[in-house]
Amino acid sequence: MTSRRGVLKGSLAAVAAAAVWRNGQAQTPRRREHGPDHFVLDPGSPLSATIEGHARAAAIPAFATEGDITALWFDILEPLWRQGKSTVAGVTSPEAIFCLERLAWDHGMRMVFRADEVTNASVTELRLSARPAALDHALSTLVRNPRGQLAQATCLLHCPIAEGPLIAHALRTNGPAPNAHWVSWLMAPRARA
Amino acid sequence: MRTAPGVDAKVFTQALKQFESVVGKEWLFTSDEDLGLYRDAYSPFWGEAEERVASAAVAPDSVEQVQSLLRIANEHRIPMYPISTGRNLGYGGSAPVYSGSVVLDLKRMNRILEVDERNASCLVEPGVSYFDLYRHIRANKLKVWIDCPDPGWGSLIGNSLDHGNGYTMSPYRDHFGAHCGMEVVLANGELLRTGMGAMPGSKTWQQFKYGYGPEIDGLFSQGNSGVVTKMGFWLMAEPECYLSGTVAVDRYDDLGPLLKTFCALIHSNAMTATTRLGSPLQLGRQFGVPPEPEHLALLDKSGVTPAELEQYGKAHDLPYWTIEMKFYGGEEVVEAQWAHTIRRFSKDIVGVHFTKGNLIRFPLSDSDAEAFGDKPSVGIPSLGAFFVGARSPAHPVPSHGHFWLSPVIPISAEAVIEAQRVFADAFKQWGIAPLYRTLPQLYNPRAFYLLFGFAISDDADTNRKTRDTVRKMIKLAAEHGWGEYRTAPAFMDDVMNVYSFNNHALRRFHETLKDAVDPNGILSPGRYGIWPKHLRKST
Repeated sequence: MTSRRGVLKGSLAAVAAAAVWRNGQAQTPRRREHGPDHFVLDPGSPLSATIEGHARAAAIPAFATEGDITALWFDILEPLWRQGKSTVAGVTSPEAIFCLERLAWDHGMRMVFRADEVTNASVTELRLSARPAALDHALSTLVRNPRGQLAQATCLLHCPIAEGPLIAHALRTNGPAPNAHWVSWLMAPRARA
Repeated sequence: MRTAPGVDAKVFTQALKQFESVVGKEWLFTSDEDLGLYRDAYSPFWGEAEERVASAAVAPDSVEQVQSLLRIANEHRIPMYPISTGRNLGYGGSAPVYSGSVVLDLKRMNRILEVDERNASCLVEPGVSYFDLYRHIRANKLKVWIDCPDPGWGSLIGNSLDHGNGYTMSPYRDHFGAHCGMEVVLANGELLRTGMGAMPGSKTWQQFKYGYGPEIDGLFSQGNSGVVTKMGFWLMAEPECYLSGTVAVDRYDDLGPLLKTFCALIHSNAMTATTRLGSPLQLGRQFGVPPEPEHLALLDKSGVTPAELEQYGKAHDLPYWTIEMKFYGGEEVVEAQWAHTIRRFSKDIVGVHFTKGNLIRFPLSDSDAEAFGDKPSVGIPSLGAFFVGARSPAHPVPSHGHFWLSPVIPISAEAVIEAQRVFADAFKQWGIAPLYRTLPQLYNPRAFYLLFGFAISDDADTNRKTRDTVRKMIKLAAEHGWGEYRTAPAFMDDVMNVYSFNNHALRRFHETLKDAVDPNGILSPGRYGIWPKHLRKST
């Protein structure tokens, strides 16, 4: 179930509420040159906890969503993007980002980083779409350890938000893991918009 | 840079420059990355040479800009493909029917021009989504409801023009049927208003549909005669209450009396809401969730009989057939409708049983609106449909999306059983399985829709087989008198081909009109099987 106006529990919730919700209206945050102004996290993802830690440390508001993203869209992101461009990163299901990406297009947003971590029968494949130049270190860490959560978190936090050519990597690793598919992503304003 | 088909590259470049002068540089899209956004995410041609793609896209902000763009397109004979929001993924999305057309993206025209609470109507532009109108109504505490499809992220105008449906009651749930008045830009850039809007200063554009003279609004739905830039809709006055309940019968042979009584109720307006025929014994206890393994094994058993299923149902408390009844109005009214429902079905069917839902009072608070499970039934837009087939223990391998095939059948036991037999036999013979087992839905007041979902694959061979199957199904359905009400672009010609009475008189009439109002054939060539003269296969 999605929690309308849901934010992650604990101290982060207070950060998010203070930064984003005032008189029920989303506030347009200061623009950053790298990384997101907001996070969207599905608590079911193993990466979510790592990101949450980074978000807390960096005082970046984060919102929780599980399954249906209707409330996240209607209450948080649409009002946010209607007020102005804001870079948002997330770790969600592929269905969630499928919907969010299409909705974001209408607000002049564009996907600039995407990593799909797909585990089937204990084989994990990581497919990356990113601008590698500014992410060399994090990407090389991912190449050595495709399930490196810290490296994925680093990519999300430091991904340049400018548009650029996307490249794809496909990495595979073996290990015990249940079938799953999580997408970490970052959407930034289109350069021309 | 891509070029529109049949257009010289220099001419195309010149036309794009003129488009740019109308909308500004940032609203003309020609890069592969930009145009990738207009691909049909659920295309059955995904990644193949035949996939329909745009050569460019242009996004105007006003009616005047639409007029200017069409005049330019007409001058250079550039095929244009208008979209409202392009969110109709199961039936084609934002990709043009005629590959290489320029997408005329109307999303920026997203103004809610009027919501008239007293007369329960609205006037909107094409880029207004159900979410937008819902937000406006909530923010202004207006006592009207929208009727939205599921998912509800699309455009009111786009969904209506495609004959989309919602989930409340008639006439609002038939979205084209609930429209009242249009503004249309014709291919030559001329502006037209229909209904009472044709009279300058009219006070009843959104109240009286017909205006004066022949009604022409239908020409702009599922068609390609003009670009709709404004449209009025009747809204539902917020009811005091909503009450739903389920009627259930346990025997296979109860379907006849169940649907006979159901028809008597809907034809007397005792129940006018969208609903579906359910069968927990055929589809599982919960909609959208596969049956339990033991149940599934029984269903998959070759030659399983209704009697065997009835026996399983008796042991596991599963009815054979169900219908949900939904009522809107004052508390005393909906309670009386439910009591009437019980009386009528009990009189006609021995052993029928009922489950009454909770009485819901309106308006809902924000938290109650969020918590409400069946949002579209109370006019709340949702994206929940995208998560029904998401990865879960019940769905270990989610699909890449799907498109729909939707034959229309009569509301009768004979038709339901015949359709089940015909398609089950065909699927067995062809060795295929559609995405969902299906039972008919009552989106239309007087007919059932069967909705077959077909999964899109990354594998071109699989998609090719799926396309072949769908084409065979279209013909098979037509042989039994069942036609599709709507279809994805890949199959628009196939469906139009089976509407062939008197040597395709209907299509020839459409073509005559097309040639008259769009002689250069620039608007949505091929949409719903209507091609301009220079692109018809026979010419």
